[in-house]
This record gives sequence, structure tokens and C-alpha cells, in this order.
Amino acid sequence: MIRFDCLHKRYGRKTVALDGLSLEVPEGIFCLLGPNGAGKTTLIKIACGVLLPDRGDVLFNGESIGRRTKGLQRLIAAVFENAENAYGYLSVQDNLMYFGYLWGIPGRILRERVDYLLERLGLSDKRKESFTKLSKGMKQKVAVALAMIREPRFLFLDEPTLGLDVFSAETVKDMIREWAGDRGRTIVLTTHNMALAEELGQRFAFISAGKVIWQGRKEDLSGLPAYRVEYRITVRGDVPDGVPGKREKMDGLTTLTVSKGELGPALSVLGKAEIVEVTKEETDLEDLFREVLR
Amino acid sequence: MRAFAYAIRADFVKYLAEFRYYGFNFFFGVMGSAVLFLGIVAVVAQAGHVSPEAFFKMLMGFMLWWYAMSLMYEMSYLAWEDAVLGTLEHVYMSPTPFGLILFSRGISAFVRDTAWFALMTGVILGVYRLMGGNLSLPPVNWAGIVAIFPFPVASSMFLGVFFFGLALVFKRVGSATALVQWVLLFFSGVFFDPGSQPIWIRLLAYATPVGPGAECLRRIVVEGRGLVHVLLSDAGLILVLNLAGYAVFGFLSLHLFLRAAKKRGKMSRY
Repeated sequence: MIRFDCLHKRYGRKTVALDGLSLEVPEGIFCLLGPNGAGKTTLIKIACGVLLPDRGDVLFNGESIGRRTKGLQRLIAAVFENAENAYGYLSVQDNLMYFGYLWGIPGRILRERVDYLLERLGLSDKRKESFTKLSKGMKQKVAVALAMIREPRFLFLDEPTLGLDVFSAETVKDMIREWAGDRGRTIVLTTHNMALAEELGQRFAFISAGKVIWQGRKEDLSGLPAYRVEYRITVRGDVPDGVPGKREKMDGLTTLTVSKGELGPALSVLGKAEIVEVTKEETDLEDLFREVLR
Repeated sequence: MRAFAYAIRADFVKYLAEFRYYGFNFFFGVMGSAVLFLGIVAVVAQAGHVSPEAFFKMLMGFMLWWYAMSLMYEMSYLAWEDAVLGTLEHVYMSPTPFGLILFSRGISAFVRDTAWFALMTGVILGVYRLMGGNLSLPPVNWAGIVAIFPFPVASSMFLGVFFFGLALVFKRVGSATALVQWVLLFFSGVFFDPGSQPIWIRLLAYATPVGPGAECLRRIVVEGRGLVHVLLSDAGLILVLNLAGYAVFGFLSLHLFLRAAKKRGKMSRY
């Protein structure tokens, strides 16, 4: 459990990055969503101990990051956005070995982890390549490997799939899912990619101007006022009178759009009609996010 | 101890790779320093005869300067580079204490610089012979030299720690390190006896991390004094006080600069 306790952070006199933000992050994948400048990166940097808050604290299972104990440092890793996260003149393997040694991982175990991660991320043939010569997507995969080689309990990922092609993004997503699958692990994910958040997130927090606007489980999203669910029933021919909902005709087919409450009555009236298809459409995370922030 | 061993190991992995990448630059940097030394010796020789003892002492003093310069550069430039790459945050987040990581970097730089200096000495001696210099090695008190050396090197390392902190908060401190390196070369007693200089130069020389060590080496090599005699003299006292002062200065400045960098968000790219 990570507890962000009333965090305040200001850059200079005018820019307020965090304005008394409090948040509890349990085990699993937690998505932190917010527009640019909302304070997401500031929050992650404070949690990692590389930025000091003006006030407030971050507690990992009750232990303050401010104390910087060895035991706690060992449990935290991050992939930071817009940073290369690795040394350009070192090879991929040397980068992993360097940080592995700094994390006190014994040589034999470290080599096994390096082999596993390079294989898993499709970087085996690039292990001797200088980091600087890699493509942007490959660099991002190395950054993920550098975080994962430490086998942290708390992993912060700031836009982890940025610049990745669909296949690489899929691999990284699988790894994140696997990682979070083990008990006691927490992943805090910030992204502007709503599809990614929707796919991976178990809990969400919408933040804006340094404050939490909404937080809850994935299931709680349906409780938001902006949440809507609609059913689209496509029938051959005409729809009899008295059926609720909005209708559209095309190519001999009629599509009826009804709300959740109208679905039962509509289906009972349509009993004898030839139903071609019934689909469910929900407000997606992106629209909910937009509505909540509005 | 284990963390220290891992940190040292990590830095050697890093330096070997760095050498593969920057080896060409390193080589010509070393050759440039050899030319600088020979040029200064040639100027000093114009003013009078350079005895083998004086030449040897200048070489030892130059070695001290070499370490000091390298440690300052190492700490300040790499702090800047680390911050730009985003690696500084990861290094800082590691469970290995930050001071230990800096110390391991200093040790790695020391080993690497010793190897480079050996190469440079070979070049210097070869060219000096061609210049007609006397290369007969005087009787040398090696034990005395070895005992004195760690003091100025450690002081230089702490000055390097200060520059590391400075580079965290301010963007590029390269020009500041360049200024300090020339002050160390010309006003710390590497090439002259501070005792024969005006009082302000003498004070400046003793305040540098290299000066007290260079003076102790001068007394051992040129004046032929014993190690115990030198350590118990005013020069020995200044040597110890100098190290203590730089240690306090280094730790304190690192603590303050780190706090300032974390407060202002300067641990990541500028």
C-alpha cells in the first residue's frame, strides 16, 4: 500500500504542482490520469524520493520515503518519462549489469535476470549494442528492463509504452500484467493513452491542478454521472410501433438504440422480429475522463 | 562492505565501456597533458638548472594535480551528464548509499588515471631525454611518497564531491572547474616552493587540496627529509588539517546541494 499524504509542491512562486493531494494506492495496477501539468510526474518523482515536497509525505507500507532506508529503496523502481534512463555509451547488457550491481544483485542471479529480460523483450540480439544506437522504441524497452531487473515491489511507470510499436507495446503490457499478478506488488501507471489505462487499470485516479478529482475501482466507473450504457439492436425490416428508443434505417435493416432500462421492453415487443445483432456500447474511459475534468 | 564492492564493480563495468567509447579522446587528453608538463619544465629550465630531484618532485606534483583535475572533472561533468540522461535519479534511488557511489567513482577514476599517468610518464621521460634533460633517478624515499600521496588525493576527491553537488544545482560548472584546475597547477606548489613566494600565494597554495601534499613531497624528495620529520612539521600539520577541512566541506556541501537539487527538481534533466 502506498499512501500519498497531503502533498504540496510548488515550483517557483506561481506554479502549483500539487495542492494537498492525498491518495491511497493498494496492490495491483493503479492508473493515474490527468491532463498535462496535472502533477502526475511530480507525484511519481516525490514517491521515488528524487524530489522533495514542500509539505506532506509518501508512505510505503507505513514507511516514509523521506527516511531513505536501504530496505525501502530496494523495493522501488521507476521508468521516467522523457528520460533515457540509461547510459548512452554502455551496451544494453552493461547498462543492466551496472544498475543490477548498484541494487546489490549477486552476479549469477543478475546474469540470469538479464538473459530473461532481454529474451522477453526481444532484445537478445541487441545486448552488445550501445544504448545510444537503439531506436526510440528499443530504448523504452531497455528502460522497462532496467526497472524490472530490480524486481521491485512498487513500480512507477510514466508513459511506459510511449514510442513502442503495437507488438512491443503488447509485450510490455503482458509483462506489466504478469508483474502485477504476483501478490504484494503495486504498479502506478501514468499515461495519456486511455486505451492502455482501460486495458490494464484495476483502479483509477483522475487528477487535475494537483488535486484528486475522482478515484475508485474499475467497477466504480459505471457509477459516474457521465457513464452511459446503450444497446444497439439491429433487426431485419421495420420495427413495430410502440418500441422505445431511437431508430435508424439502412439497407433494409433497422437499428434501434435503447438505454439499459428500455432494453427489456424493447426485446419483448420485438419478439417476432428477426434480430440480426445486439451490441452494448459503454462510455469509454476517455469520455469519462473528459466529463469528470469538465 | 558488500554494497561498496558492488558499487566499485558497477563503476568498473561502466568505465571499461566508457573507455571503449571515449578511448581516443582519453589518449589525446593525456598526450596534451604531457605536452603541457614538458612545456612548463622547459620554461622552468630556462630560468636555471633543473636537478633530477626537482624534476622528480615536479613529476610527483603534476601527478597530484592530474588526480585532482580528473576527480573534479569526473564528479562535475558526470553529474551533469547523469542529470541530462535521467540516470542520476536511478543511481540516487539505488539502495547503495549515494556517498559510497561517489567514493566508488573516485576509486575507479583513481585506478584509471594511474594507468593513464604511467603511460604519460613514459612519454614525458622519453621526450625529456630527447630535450637533453638529466634522467638519473635520485635516491627516492618511496615509503615517504606513498604515505603522503593519499592525503592530497583524498582532499581532491572531497573537492570533487563539492563540484558534483555544484553541478547538480547549477547547469554547467565546467568553466569553474577549468579555473580551479589552473589555480591548482600554477599556484599550489606543483612547480615551485610556496615558501619562496609572497604570503598570499603561500596561503592560497596551502588552501588547495594539492598544495600541502606537494610541499611535503618537496621536503621529502628535494630536501631529503624523513617521513616522520615531515609529518611532525608545520607542513605535516597543514596536510592533515587540509584533508579534514576538505572532508567536512565535501560532505556538508553534498548534503546541502543534494537537498537543494531535490527541492528544485534538478535531479533530472535540466
